[in-house]
Amino acid sequence: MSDDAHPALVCEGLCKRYGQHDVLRDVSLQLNAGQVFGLLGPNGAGKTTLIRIVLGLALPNTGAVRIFGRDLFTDRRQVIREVGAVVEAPTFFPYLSAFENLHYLVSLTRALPRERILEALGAVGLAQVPDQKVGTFSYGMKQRLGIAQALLPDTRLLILDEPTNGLDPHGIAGMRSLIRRIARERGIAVLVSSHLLGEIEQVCDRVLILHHGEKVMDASMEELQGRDAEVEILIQPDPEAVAKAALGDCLESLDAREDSWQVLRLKLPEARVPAVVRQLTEAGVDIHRVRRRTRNLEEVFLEHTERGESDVRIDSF
Amino acid sequence: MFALIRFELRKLTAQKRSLAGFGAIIFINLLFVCAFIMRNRKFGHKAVPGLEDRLISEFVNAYVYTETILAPCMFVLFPMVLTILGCHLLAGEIEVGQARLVACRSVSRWQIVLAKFVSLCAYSGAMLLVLLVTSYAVSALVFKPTGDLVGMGHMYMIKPGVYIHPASDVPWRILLSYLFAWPMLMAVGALALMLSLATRQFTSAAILTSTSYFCSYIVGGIPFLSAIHPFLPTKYLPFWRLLMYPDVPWHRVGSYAFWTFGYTGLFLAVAIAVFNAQEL
Repeated sequence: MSDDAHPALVCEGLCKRYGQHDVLRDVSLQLNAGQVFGLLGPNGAGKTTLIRIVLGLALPNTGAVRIFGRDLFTDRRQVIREVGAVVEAPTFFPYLSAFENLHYLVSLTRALPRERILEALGAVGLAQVPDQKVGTFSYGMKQRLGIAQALLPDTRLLILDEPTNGLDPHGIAGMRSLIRRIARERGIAVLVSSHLLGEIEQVCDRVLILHHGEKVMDASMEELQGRDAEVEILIQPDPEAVAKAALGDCLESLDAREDSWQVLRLKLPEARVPAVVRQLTEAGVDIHRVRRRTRNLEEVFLEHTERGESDVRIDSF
Repeated sequence: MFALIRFELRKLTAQKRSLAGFGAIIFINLLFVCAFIMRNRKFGHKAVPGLEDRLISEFVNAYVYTETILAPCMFVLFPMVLTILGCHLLAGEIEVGQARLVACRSVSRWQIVLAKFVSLCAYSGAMLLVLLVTSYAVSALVFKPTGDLVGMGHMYMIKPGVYIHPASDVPWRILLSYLFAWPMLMAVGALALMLSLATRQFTSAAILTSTSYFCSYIVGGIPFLSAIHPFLPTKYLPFWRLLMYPDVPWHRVGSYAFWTFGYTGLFLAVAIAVFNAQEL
């Protein structure tokens, strides 16, 4: 079977324990080529530990990691050739130039011509400063240099730990479009860990939420948005009794609105919406607007990670 | 492996702190030249110096100078410089996170340690070469370029006494003593790498390495602690000093060299094993 037929990354039953503390508990995931996979979790949830295991920088107590179908722990040197990563802060050698940093780091995998390295620098907006010492770079510039080195020489699985840290709004937008572009155009599988839920929501195809080392959710963005979706129907004042009589138990709530309209909130499959609208109209209710209301990632994240939280590492107030 | 070594060498040459070792060579040369000149002109010395010191000052030439300067450099200066550089190269990079950046590439941990060791060896070899060339060049300009080699046993931590070698017998002794000094620095470099992995912190690693090295010397110099002397690496590492004996004890040179390389291999093996087991 060729490499392309295998998922880019498969983690199976990963467990990691430090002393008495379980950092990861039976975490599994699958990431396919061209997919952008978001890894979410509060501080101390085990995101970076998971990334370090996937890169072979730490060993799990149990579990397996396969990259393009090959076992990471038996063949790391070969497997890791196709993996690029920026883990935690981008820490380059400050006394070397941006070009030299890339040149020497990339040559550990495969030597590249100067043009390829300059091209990579250009792709992250550093074309003007190839010979400038990295020690003089801002955090955002180092972050972008980190992406450039992670993409070279022939990365097929890109792992980014908090890639938008230290970037200004332009940089964040640029990073977002870069991630989307490399996944779509080059078929690179991207695993992104971030605290910025809005960013994850905009770039990822799939999301995994870790909490206290456990996987609490793993779903595609469509599933996530479809899950627990509600239909909101704005109706004229005082048809409450009519609506209740017509809809019975499937009416979740009825809120009074300042503009004197009222909102009926219903949980029902999309296919049933026309029938419900017809039912209400036939019962004499004037409908002003019907819209589908999906929960955003922040709501889902908080629901899964906030309840009864007492861990001091988690920034809850 | 070649790419890693090239990278390590580039890192060493790109850092200003790497120049410190060569700066130290210039500084000690300056001090030595000034001290020899002042002594010859009886500057600031009212008391009559001891016989051994007087012999040195009377017979000073480029050979004496070049061999004499090796002792302080080998016992104190170069080990100190190598300790700092070695610890910075590994513990410093682990502490800052640069080691992780390299380890994310398609390289093995043992290759990372070995490449750092090779670059430290190259650096220490360069320091010895620069010391040899500069000390001979400076002293040949200021004093006579050749002459008999006069040395004192206590300066080299060998049997006390004055050792005099005829001029014709000196160049090979000097060259060999510089060459044999190299393995000692390799062992210190390997020790710094090993203790870097024990602490993973530059400051702690540098303190631990220098205290291990100097404590070993101190204990090695206390006669009533002689039971432990055979196990101290510092008993064997400076086997270059055996070249000062008129009849070089080649058997001892060979056995001390064996132990020196043995200790170096042991330090490296431990460093590699520890680094392989560590998380980054």
